[in-house]
Amino acid sequence: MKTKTMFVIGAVICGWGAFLVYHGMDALPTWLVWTMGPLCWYLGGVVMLAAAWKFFTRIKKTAVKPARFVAATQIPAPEPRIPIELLLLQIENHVRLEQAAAQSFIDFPNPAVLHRKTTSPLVN
Amino acid sequence: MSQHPELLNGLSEQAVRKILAIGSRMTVECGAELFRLGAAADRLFVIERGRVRLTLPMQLRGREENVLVEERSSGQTVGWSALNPPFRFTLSASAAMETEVLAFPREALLSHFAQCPETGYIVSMNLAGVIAQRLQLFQTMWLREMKRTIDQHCA
Repeated sequence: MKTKTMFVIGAVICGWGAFLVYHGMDALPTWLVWTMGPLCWYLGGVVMLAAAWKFFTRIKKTAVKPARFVAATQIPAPEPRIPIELLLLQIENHVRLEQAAAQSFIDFPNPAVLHRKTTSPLVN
Repeated sequence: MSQHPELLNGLSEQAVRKILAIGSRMTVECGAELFRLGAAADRLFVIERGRVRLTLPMQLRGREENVLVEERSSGQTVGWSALNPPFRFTLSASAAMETEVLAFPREALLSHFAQCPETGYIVSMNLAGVIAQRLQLFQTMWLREMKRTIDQHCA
């Protein structure tokens, strides 16, 4: 529900309460007036407070929300899964395996050897 | 060195001695840098003993790391950017262990080649072999990587 609509509904309920208290004495029993009147004020107040809360929190959210392209660059990097030293060792190992594979193609050039897989974890 | 380095293959003993006399011996401690990417390349190095790591910088998790590209060992040549314009190193080199190298200043080498063209020709052919080996190796590695990329994204 829209904030504005909620606020209007709250005001109308409060207005009913006021009407009952100030103009309902003649037509309705006193106990009903003094029960329904404050109840309407209470309910109307709650609805208007809820509308106000919704309105101000929405403004706050809008104010702190960064532009989309900024958010995209500010996505925190995922936690490193392995230590950097281990990653560097894996890269070294990968380079050596790739060079060995490339060298075996140079020694015996044929298509099967060219794309032969290595055991490097970086490509498997 | 029991054998001639790859750069001096095919030269006579006398020619090898003359070339080696141009070089100056250097000891590089384990982990120390021999040359840096982008630096002026005025010397060619032949590894006498030990191992040299050739690396390139790579951004890993927000920090720059030197990633191994190639390793060269005893008898092999590094720093041939010293003989190719624009005479800037295209990789960084550091010693993987205590390493001894012979450093050959470009000017002294070229001057010697001018005096002994036959030596210059043989050394140039050997250097072409070193460069060709690197080229073949890396074009093969590049093709393997391209296939993986295609398999991953276009399959």
